[in-house]
Amino acid sequence: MSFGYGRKKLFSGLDLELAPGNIYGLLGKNGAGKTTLLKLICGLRIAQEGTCRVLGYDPAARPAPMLEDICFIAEELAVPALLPRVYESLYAPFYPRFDHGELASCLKELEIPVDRKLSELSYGQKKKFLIAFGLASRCRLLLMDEPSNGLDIPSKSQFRRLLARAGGSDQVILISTHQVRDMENLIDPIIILDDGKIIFSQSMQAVGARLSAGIEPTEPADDRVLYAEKTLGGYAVLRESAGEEETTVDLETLFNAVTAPDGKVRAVFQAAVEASPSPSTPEGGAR
Amino acid sequence: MSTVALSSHVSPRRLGQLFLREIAHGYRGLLVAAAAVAGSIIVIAALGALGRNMGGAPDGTVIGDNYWFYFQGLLFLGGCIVTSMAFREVWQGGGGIAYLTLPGSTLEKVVVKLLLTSAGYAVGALVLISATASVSEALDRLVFGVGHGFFNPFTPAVGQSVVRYVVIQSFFLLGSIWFRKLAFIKTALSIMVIAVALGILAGIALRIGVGPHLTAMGTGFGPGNGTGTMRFGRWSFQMNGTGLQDLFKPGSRGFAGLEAFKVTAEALVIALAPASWVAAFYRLREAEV
Repeated sequence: MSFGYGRKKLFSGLDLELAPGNIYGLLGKNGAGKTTLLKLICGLRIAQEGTCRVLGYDPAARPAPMLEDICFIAEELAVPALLPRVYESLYAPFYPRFDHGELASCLKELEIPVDRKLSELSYGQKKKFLIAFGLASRCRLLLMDEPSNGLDIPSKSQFRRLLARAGGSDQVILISTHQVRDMENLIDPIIILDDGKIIFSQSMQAVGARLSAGIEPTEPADDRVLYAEKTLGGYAVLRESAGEEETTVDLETLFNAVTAPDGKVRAVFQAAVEASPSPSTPEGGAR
Repeated sequence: MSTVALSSHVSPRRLGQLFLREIAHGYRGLLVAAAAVAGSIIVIAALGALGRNMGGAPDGTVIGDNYWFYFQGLLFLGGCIVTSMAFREVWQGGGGIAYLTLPGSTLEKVVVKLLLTSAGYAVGALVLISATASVSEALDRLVFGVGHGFFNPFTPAVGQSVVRYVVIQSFFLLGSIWFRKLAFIKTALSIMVIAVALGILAGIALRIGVGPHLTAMGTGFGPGNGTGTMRFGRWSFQMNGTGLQDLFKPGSRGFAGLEAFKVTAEALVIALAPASWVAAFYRLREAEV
């Protein structure tokens, strides 16, 4: 798929396939096109070349049955001057699988005042309400653009709890974020967007199997080192795994290593992809 | 078209929900505007009645059909302003994202906005003016003994006005999805520019067609009472040229041609309404935010 604003190409030959039952993390530098990709998926932008299929539909046509199964929580929020229960009565019927009990439970957990109009709530409270509504919609595709931005510290924990228990086997959750620390241990697989292409799309299990992470007091110089960056207490080091015990790779380090100009980490995964047979397309996924 | 394909475009459940959503979002603003209009009409009518009363008008005097004027203003000016705001939310950042991803087909979204701003608004304006006129008349006759005449919403003139409104508002509906900002002003200016351009073209065509017969010619709406005025319904043509009156005298080919032109022009203007609805549909379908 290709897309650009005016003459400037943003995506050129972008290829991505999402399988149900996952909470994907979409990472990328500023201006990499994370928000645009989410908009292309839900039909708010139209691909200029190539094809995009979401739940079996062409998102550019914005068909109602597709929209009934998609919920996009954008960074730019717009809520009407309505009480939460009025909003629920007006908007929930649009989503055939809406779970009113789940909404009530989420609103309680996120401590959203239900006796005040949505327009009178703070940015963080509005965002929490829309996240709760999105989770309760039980849509098969839930897109979130920077969901933890504007949330206070307790809300971030509450959000992580809610998201951890969400995500059915037929559901795809795609979260675009810069706040990788907020999403640690939650998003998996990781998709990294850079220079108009998906340069990395791997599960954390695959990352743990192929990379070995650690903190070392001095700068390493051996041949197995793929990436090293100075950090508090020494150097965060990534090596190609040589069959030793799996380690947890910090998301921030992984992102920096994948987007490093030398491309050593990317090459490790590329070699693995070329060595293995191509995976089949998951049923009901979004491509 | 299969049942599945049709239901993806039109579903009574989604249509009903979209109607409810529109009403819930807009009713408060409309109620405030309606109250302001009703209050203004009652006050202006009362001041007029007071003036006549102080001027010595006898009890039971009816001083003209003011409510018709208010109805026209409310219908055409108010309706076109309201229509111009119909798709405003599409261009309002997060509002556009929420509206365009709202589960409903483009056809359903256009139909709901169209029905509410055309027939819905016209019915609302009729109810408002009828109710306001009744209250205002009752007050003025009771207090000042002078009235303006009740407003009758069931006359053919009201029906014709509503039809004309539906045609005109269709341009503003298209303008509301076409222009991101200042849709009312931009649509009104666009209509004026197109009308002036068409007028110039018509003038050139007439000059070429009947130029040899022409010494002075004016066209306009209204009664027309100059020498050589010819009337076609609401249209009047004033022709002072030697031989021009013979060219367009009743029964002549020129007269028949002019009549055919008038019917064609009116049919074209009416046909512009559905054309605008279709254009609005495609514009909304291709809207990107």
